[in-house]
Amino acid sequence: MKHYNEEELFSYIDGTCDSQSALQLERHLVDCPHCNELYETLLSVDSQLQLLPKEKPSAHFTSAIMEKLYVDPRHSVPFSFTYYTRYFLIFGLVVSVISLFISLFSIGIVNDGVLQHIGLNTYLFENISNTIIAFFKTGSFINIMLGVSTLLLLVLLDKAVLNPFFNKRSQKIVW
Amino acid sequence: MSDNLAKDEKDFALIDRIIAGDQVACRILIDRHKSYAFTIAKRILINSQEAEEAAQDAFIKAIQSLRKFNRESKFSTWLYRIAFNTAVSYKRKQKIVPDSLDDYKLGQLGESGNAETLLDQERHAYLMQAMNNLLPDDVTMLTLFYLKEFSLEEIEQITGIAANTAKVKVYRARKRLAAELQKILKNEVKTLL
Repeated sequence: MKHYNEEELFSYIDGTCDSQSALQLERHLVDCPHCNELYETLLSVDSQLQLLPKEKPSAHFTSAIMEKLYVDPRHSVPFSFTYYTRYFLIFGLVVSVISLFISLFSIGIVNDGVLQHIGLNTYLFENISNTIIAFFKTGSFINIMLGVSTLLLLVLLDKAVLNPFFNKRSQKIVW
Repeated sequence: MSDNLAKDEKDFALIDRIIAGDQVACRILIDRHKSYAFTIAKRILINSQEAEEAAQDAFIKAIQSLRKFNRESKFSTWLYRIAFNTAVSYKRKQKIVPDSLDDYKLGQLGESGNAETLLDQERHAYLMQAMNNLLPDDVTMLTLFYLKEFSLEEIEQITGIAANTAKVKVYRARKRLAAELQKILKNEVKTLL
């Protein structure tokens, strides 16, 4: 008499064998005490495994992770601007449109020492060109460029030197 | 199926919030998955304290790498793969002695009163002892298969073991488990189980 092996019996227990094989196996189990005993043992193991519970971690499990992530600088979550990119873009677009409208409909410029408010149809282009020329002549352009360069320099200094330096230092601190 | 999809969507929404710096979302995400991640670690490492450390470590690694998560698979599958790998690497350098069966019994049986509960807990204790004697791979296979959260294909993603191989491994792990139980209980397997 051919005996069934564990794999075939488990396949029957799992319900993954076809119905004809299942029928044959059931008939065999009635006649074969050896296979029947093995089947009973495997079935018992299976039913115990079915009852395996999910383990519960300690009550402070989540808090411990949060502390490591947000308090301990060695583990801190790197903040990402990528998530906000779309909001920055929308905000930038709105600001540019508003600025454009303001500049088109009402521009206050100082022309020959006299403050002039001009509308769209009042010598618009002529006054704008005067303003641009005045902007470059008075040195405002150079001042603004100096300001932007200083800002960029500070950002570079922070990203390239200060940030890596302090990160390295903080990793050496025992918390 | 739609429940699972909704779960995944919720996970993805939480991930977006965490990337934006939302700590509440981070707490929610951990609470949703901590039990399963801890179970995987516990089954591999046996020792509760070490399993907790490994599971926490896995969460930290996952949260810090959230931007690398490509969302082609479920977040849970990705997280449990990290938990599995972390627990296995802890196992390699394990020094702490696993919780013993006696400790388990004392801790678990102490408060219960009726005989049926005692027998259930004793069965469970013997089962855990037999599982302790299996290889980590076998234990993980049984854990993932019997917690019924994953298909064999998802088990493949977590453990890196092909679905067909995983199926065979589950069969063999159960066979080895039955043998271990027989070794522990001699011929009393059926009567006790």
